[in-house]
Amino acid sequence: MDIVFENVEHIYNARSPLARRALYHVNVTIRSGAYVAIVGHTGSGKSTLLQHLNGLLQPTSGTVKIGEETITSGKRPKQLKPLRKKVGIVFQFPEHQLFEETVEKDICFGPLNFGVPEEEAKRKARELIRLVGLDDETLAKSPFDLSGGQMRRVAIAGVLALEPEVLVLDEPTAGLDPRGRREIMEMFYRLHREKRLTTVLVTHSMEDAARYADELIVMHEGTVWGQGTPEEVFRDAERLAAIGLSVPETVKLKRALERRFGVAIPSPCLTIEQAAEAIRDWFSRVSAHE
Amino acid sequence: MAEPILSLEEVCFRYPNQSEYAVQHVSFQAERGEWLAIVGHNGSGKSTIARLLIGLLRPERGVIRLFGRPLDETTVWDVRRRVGMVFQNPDNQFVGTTVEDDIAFGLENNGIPRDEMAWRIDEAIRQVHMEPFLHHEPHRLSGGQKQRVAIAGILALRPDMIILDEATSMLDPRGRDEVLETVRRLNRQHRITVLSITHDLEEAAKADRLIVMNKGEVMAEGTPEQIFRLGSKLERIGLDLPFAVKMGSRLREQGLPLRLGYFTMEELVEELWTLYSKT
Repeated sequence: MDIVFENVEHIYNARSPLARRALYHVNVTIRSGAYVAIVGHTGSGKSTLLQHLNGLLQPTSGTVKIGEETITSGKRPKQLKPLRKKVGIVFQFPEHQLFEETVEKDICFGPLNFGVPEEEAKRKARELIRLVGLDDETLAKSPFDLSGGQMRRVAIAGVLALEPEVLVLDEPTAGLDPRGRREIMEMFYRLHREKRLTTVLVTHSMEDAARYADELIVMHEGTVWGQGTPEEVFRDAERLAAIGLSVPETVKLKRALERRFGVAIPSPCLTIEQAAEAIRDWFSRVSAHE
Repeated sequence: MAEPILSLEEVCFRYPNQSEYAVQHVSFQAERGEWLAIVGHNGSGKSTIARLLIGLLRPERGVIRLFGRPLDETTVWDVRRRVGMVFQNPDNQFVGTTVEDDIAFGLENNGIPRDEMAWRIDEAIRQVHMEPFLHHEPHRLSGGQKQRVAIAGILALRPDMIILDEATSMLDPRGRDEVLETVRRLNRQHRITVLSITHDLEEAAKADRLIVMNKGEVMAEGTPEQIFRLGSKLERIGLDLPFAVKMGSRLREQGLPLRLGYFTMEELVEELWTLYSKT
């Protein structure tokens, strides 16, 4: 299910004195099965873009195609229901949306609303609670007796319960401690591969973008500033810095070493593992040349 | 040693209906003008300590002293006037419809005369570099700007100490830098004691001293250098090391004979250069 934005513009409060253009001239294709990271500053338009992915917002002009569905200005929300099932969005701090008495009821809420029989929904809940790394006993508990990290996993299970084909993650690790962040990101990556999802990650972490994404979309002041593989995008550190974005620490180190030694490191150094190996090989080579 | 502005002695606390202690036998001190960071994973007890310090929770055992006096019913109001707290969620701490009103709210509550309020607001907003936003609505600001307004609201009350309770964890990298830069300036120029509660070791690296919490207990205490030397012990309790420290240990694992004891990327580059020059 490819997602194609064609010349999308979005104006908040259009035709009012408060009108504000949040997106313009957005042309993007997200291939089925890809893991795409959207990066950009607060206010760059990435949250507005994200809300177009399941029709929560409709373009003021232009079209958004999601598989067979086409969203244009003025499409009635009722027609968007099938789309909402296919595209699951995990919003920032999803645990704030928990409301049921038990974890099981919370996870089943979505499927029951979409007409899934109760037994089937409960079976699904048992499967999902394990998938997000919690045990069966959690199902009977009140979501409000869980820790913050556990609540977030429950909320994520609730989104997965609708078996989306596209999973959209808006800063899914904000507020978690480092271990919690790593665990959640690894979990999404596993789901991405095992369930063959199309994953769209909105993040401030260039490290996560470099580690997990096949492709990056860089947003700036309401439009697409650049798009490419992590290697391509992070090659442009100076241009990124000019719009206030940074590159991963590993790429900064690679560049600092190249400047100090005057010898290029022939690796993009996108992850710490990759950088450590590349720097070791490079270092033994420069040392041997003396 | 100078008179500590804050001291905890053998403080224990558990939440109602819990058998396990959230904080147990915790003792430490902070000096006037110091920046002390309390680090630990979520659930390590670090935020509970913040709540104990401003009297939102009361210890089951042990003594907390602030400004030379034990914290109790008779001193708690004075303590709350002198200690400002910035919370995690920037959206949960505004009452005013404009930035100016918001700062005025705290002053009014403290019975500051009207004419004095005006220049205190003026001074506080300048200290956080938010002058152009005085008449803006707080909820329309960016996360970093909101936290700076929250800090201005505290500064207007002339605090002796600021507690940052995960105050940067919901901000983007730019917002985080804005807030930390502001705090650094206030700490250095105005000698305001800072207690930052965080799981971000890059933030903690800016402190003079660190207290590492694990399972409600103090696991280690020292300068950033001393603490980062704990290496994988910190990772085992759910914390992340600064990048240069992590990278250095990876390179050692890969067989490069690097020394220990560098904490910034520049130092790591120099360490590699030194190693290269020796061969």
